[in-house]
Amino acid sequence: MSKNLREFLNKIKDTIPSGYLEVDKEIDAKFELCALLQHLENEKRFPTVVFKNVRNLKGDGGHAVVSNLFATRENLAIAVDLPKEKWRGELTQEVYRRIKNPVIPKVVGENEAPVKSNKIIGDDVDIRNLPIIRHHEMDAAPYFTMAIVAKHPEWGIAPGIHNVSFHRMQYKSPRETGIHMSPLHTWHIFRSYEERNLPCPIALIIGHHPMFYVGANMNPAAGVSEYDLVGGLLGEPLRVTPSTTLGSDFLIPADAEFVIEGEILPNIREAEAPFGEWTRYYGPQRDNPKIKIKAINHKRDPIFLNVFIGHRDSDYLGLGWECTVFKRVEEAVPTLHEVYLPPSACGGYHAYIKIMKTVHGQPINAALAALTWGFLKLVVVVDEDIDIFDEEQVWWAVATRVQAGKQVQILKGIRGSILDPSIGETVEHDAVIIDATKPLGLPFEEKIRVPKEYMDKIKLRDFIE
Amino acid sequence: MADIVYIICPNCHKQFYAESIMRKTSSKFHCPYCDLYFFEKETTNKGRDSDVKEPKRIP
Repeated sequence: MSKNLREFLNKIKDTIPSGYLEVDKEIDAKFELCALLQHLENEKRFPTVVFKNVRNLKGDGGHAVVSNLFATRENLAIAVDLPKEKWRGELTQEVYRRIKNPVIPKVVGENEAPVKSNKIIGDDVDIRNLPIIRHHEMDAAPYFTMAIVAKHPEWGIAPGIHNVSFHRMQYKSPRETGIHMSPLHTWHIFRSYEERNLPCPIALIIGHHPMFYVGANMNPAAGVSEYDLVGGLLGEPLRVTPSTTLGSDFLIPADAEFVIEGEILPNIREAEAPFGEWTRYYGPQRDNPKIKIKAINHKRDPIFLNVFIGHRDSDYLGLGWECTVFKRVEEAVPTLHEVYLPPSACGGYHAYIKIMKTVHGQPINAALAALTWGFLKLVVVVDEDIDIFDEEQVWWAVATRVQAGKQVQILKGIRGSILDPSIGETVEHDAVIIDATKPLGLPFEEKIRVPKEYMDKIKLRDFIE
Repeated sequence: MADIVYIICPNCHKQFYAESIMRKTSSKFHCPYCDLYFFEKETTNKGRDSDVKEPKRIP
């Protein structure tokens, strides 16, 4: 069986039963579902939650919704066939290994594509029938929070290549949504169409294997098909099938729960947002394009996947970004050990990097390579004895190995993230580099430790129940 | 993030914020609380640029 959302849910149900929760009681897509997730978060609990009876935008119950799929790194370890304990640097490296080995998708016919079990087209489309989640108080409407596929046009910079990336989509009417695009690949594709006054075909992919979305959150070169990248991440070809309304060469994932097809309309802008973003702030209302929905394809008894954005569920989707940073640093510093983008900085703004320092200047090379990935505002480089997945250890290294005048630098005017609340209109930010490594070739005071032989001799369980 | 301004809905009088550049376009604002679409001239905002950005006014 091809990898998909349901196969993965069964896997985590078996592997981490304590991290999997099913909710049978009826709950509303408007704020109620997120209130339950927030209560769990307040107790520092981040299980994958399968809501079995969610009311849609018309108030009709019985819809299945999954959230918190990405809320733990253990889940993501399982998604790449690692033991759940291998969620630290091993996870980053396994994902990186997989993206170095892309796999071309497999095209299947409609009769082999479960997503084509139900096709709703044209005037029959009504997205109010879906349990689109309304997340936070100031959100302008219910929002889709999953990834969309666009395809570079024949006259574009990468003709025929499918691009997958995350974009928020605001409910507007039964067959219309708004969309926000940062000026990256999808925006360039859309602009290519808009300059010719043509609508830009897109497909929203709701409910697939987690690695589909980790791939969507990477930033490969425009000429790289993210379907190939996803195939690498899955370890098998992504099964795709021709779209229902966007042409037979526009391919959509055959094993998704839902694929919603539509067109971003040219030369139309309308108020979109506020929306609670991954930064944990509301992005402001702005003039943004609109999408006309043309078709909904879905499996039988489909499961609607939602990212509880601005919470752990989006923090650890930063794994895709983490691998992008890992790749760039590894090219600059071959003795790189690990990279971590912690949830304390929304999984996107800070990076901790562990290297084996072999020559002077390497920590700065590592940091500069990391900063070529645009969102980072702080990079801390540490030695091998520091566990970068334990923030206390990282900041202990900063506290005890750093003299600011020598080991802290500020770089100004780097392209940043438009969603950063502190950034200016030119979307340039400043970044701090902290070299928290010990000096090379000089004596340095040693970390304290209880003798190993006594640690081995004295067992906790022999003294304390 | 671009420069933002707080907007007060003329219908429900709740506040939200928008990019200030929206004031220079012909777009309507959209109240996230009561779903009203409205033009800037319909809002009850006064001195939005200077006054409404004050954090203490956030509900």
